[in-house]
Amino acid sequence: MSVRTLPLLFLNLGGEMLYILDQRLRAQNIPGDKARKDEWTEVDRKRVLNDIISTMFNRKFMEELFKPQELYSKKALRTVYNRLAHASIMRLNQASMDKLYDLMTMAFKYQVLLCPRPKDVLLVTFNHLDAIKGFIQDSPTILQQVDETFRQLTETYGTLSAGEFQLIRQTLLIFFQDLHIRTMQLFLQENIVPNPLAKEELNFLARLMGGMEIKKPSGPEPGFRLNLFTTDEEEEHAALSRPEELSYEIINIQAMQDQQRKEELARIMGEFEIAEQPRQSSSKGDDLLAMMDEL
Amino acid sequence: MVAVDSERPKDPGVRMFRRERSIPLRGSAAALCNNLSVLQLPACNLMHYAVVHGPSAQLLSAAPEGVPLAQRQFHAKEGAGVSPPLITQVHWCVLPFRVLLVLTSHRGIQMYESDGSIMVYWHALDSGDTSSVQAVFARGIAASGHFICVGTWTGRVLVFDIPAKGPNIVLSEELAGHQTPVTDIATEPAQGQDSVADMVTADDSGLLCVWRSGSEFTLLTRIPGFGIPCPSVQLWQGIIAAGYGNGQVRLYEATTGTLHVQINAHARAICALDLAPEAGKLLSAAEDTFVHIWKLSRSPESGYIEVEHCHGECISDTQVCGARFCDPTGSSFAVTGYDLAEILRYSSV
Repeated sequence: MSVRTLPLLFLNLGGEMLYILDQRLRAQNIPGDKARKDEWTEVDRKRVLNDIISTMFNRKFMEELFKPQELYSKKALRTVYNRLAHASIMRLNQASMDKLYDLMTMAFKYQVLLCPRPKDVLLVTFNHLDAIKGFIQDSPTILQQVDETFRQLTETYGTLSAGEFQLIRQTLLIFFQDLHIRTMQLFLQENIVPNPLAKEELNFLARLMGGMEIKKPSGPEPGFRLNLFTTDEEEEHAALSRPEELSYEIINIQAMQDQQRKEELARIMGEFEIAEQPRQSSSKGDDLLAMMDEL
Repeated sequence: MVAVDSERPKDPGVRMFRRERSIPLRGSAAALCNNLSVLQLPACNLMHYAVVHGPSAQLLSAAPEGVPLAQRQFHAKEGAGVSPPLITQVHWCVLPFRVLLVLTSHRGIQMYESDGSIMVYWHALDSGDTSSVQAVFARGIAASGHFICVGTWTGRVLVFDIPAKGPNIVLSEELAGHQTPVTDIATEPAQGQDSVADMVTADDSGLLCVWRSGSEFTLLTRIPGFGIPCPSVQLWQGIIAAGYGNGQVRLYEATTGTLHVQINAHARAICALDLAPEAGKLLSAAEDTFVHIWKLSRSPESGYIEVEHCHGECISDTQVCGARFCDPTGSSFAVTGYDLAEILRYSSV
């Protein structure tokens, strides 16, 4: 409905994700053979958050995000966060990633529902950004990126009317409709009919992948795994007991090199039959692809 | 302050309304305003309900006790564009010789025979010079005589001339009065006199436009908003009832636009208003989970509008998005809520 909803959705969900990861990273008992266990844990926690935040607030990506556009599908958005969560040395199993995403979306849905006035969604977004700034106090470059986003938010949303915020809130609530942490019938009804938007989404993903580097664990340092559950057994049980039809069906794209990435994208795009529909702004996809080539 | 009736059904004591059997919906109701339309045809003893889910809307009929009988789903017609279009409103229009079901979406306006069996008309919205920043949609539906009026995102109100039968519907006029998206339209049968207002249109800025219908609609007066959206409006015997985004309900004299009553009973935005014309009862529903019923009247001496509170109902843990009386005397009403896959019903004891 409203074409200005995506930045708010992305930033708030990202903020929730960082809250949760920060908490779990502190709570996680990471067994290690390092002598100074505490210091290692603290340094790595900051490193993970720094990596994710700097990826989230990449300048070019933010520019794309703030352009007026329809909300992306739940599947595409889920894939983006899957990617974000793995922007550092941290690894999440499927069950933990599912739980993380469940918590993120339910938390933000709750916050949107509780807003007394539609304009308060903007305040919620600022709260999340304030917390994010708290995580990266020691990194001036990333801090600058976040401040720039603050400025963009104020510029884009500062002058919107109450009616426009009402439309934004309705758009967010329609996105979160039928999402309950226990009964996720939503994913059964996910419409997987090929449509031209899929092409745009893949461009969006390609753009995002271009802006992200996977930090792969190299050498003796293990890419440590984060568990969203209290024990490994609980995580395993969650993975086994999760019904097949409730899987998120993430698009897994292995981006090793430019050539492989393009081939993979072309293959996936080939699988979608793009119906002949007039595109109003067909140049947008080209802009994104061009940007990808420049990276 | 308003006394709220929050006793459980099993408790003894005087209760004005009791909860009746709910009607299950196939899909939950979307968080839109005015998200419930009710039709009762006197001929058959059936109730018809229509609710917007999102990209689809559901129409169902039920026996008086609430037993669901038949249901039908509608989707917004695709038209030009990239993403699946969302429906903004669904509403029955009762005209002199027929009843039509109207659906508004982000693509256009669809009109069906009252049971939803045949689509008789499709009007595609022309986005024209609209900048990409604005959402394009139709919203606000009402019947006025043999016309159906539908609001749009530009503020223009489209007036369609409806024949007694058949699909030969024509767009006869475009009314200019609003600069922001239309939210709701209310009409009442013309009182017979020439200068009496019989249509009110509302928009996102809170502006109300008062019209007189006819082969050409005439703008009689404007009631300025104060920046707060007016999502719902009703018209009864020259009284305009308008609900606002700050929870206020205001009653105006239609011909002059004078404010007579301001009701501060809701803590959140009003999402729906409805009128029971035979009893002069007004129903207000808001996102604060409350539904209130008011009795409207005019003072015999001064002619001033007066209001009396009749009943307050708390729909617990529900963000109400639609509410309607189920009969013209206001002895029963139905409610929909966001994420709720049922229609809640209440009737007086």
